[in-house]
Amino acid sequence: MDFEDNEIVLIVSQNKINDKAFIKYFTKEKFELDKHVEISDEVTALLDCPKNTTIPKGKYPINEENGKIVIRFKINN
Amino acid sequence: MILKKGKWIFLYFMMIGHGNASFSQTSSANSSFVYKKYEFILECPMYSCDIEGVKLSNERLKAQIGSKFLLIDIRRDTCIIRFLINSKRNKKKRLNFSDDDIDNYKYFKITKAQLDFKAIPANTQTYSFTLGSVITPLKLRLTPFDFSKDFTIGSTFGVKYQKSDLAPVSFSALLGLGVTSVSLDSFSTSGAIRNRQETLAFSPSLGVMLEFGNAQIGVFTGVDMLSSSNILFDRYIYKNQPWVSLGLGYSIFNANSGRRQ
Repeated sequence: MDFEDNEIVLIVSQNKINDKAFIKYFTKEKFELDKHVEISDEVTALLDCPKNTTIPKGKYPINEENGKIVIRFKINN
Repeated sequence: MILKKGKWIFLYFMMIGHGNASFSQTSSANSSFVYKKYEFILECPMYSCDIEGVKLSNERLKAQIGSKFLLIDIRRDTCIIRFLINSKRNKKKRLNFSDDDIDNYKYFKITKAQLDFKAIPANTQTYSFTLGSVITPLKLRLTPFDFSKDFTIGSTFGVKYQKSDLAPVSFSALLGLGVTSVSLDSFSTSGAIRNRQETLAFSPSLGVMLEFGNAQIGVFTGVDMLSSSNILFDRYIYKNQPWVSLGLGYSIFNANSGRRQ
């Protein structure tokens, strides 16, 4: 994970996830969050992003860069 | 006079027609069989494998409806596939990894029968160049309101957007260049002439068109530009005034017609 420009970037290597999770979450054009996700303080501290950060529910485009799966979540502070 | 014109407006909408031949830059479905994009239209059982089709696990997996994949290889009755994930096109937002994971792609195998029955070719290229012709036999002019049978013929080109091959609805933004016949009379020249006469004008236009299968509906607007050598150039009341034309049409020629399977 990374934080930049008000976005939390999820980077996933295909060989790090099992086949079922890959098929369920990453084979459609968009990654679907069916509810808001609050980022814990531990993670916000690690990512150097503001506390009480929330990723709103919605559909986020799934992209591939150099073979890695990249999803950019717009966040609410 | 106004009522009479109202009747003609109805006829006008019924009569205008235009044809448009589209030439897509997408490759034809028949051009290459390997490395083609497909989309599952039914859930499909599959097994994890390597790029050569050697099964990695006996666990049966199920592909999701709507997921797109590349056909990597066909070996006898087995197809090796890789799920298609969009590449990031915005270079500014690319992360520019120092390493890459292209050796770590996941491959799956399905049977040829499942490919034929449960998947269809996926048209992921949604924008294409379109070129054609437009004919506007009648025009609406707005200030002052009038309509005329000034006949315009010309070429159009532009960008065509198609969401998917499954939904044969497309939207085109078009730029047209044509020549029109303009009727000049006492009304349109503020009394400069008494007898009706025809003259040619250059007629650039802009338009949008919706296409449902072979049926088309479009709205165009443009201006009729008389030659500056025409003695009525400055007297023409619609000089630099836009006209509007609505068209219904049916495409006879379509380069994409063989794409769907």
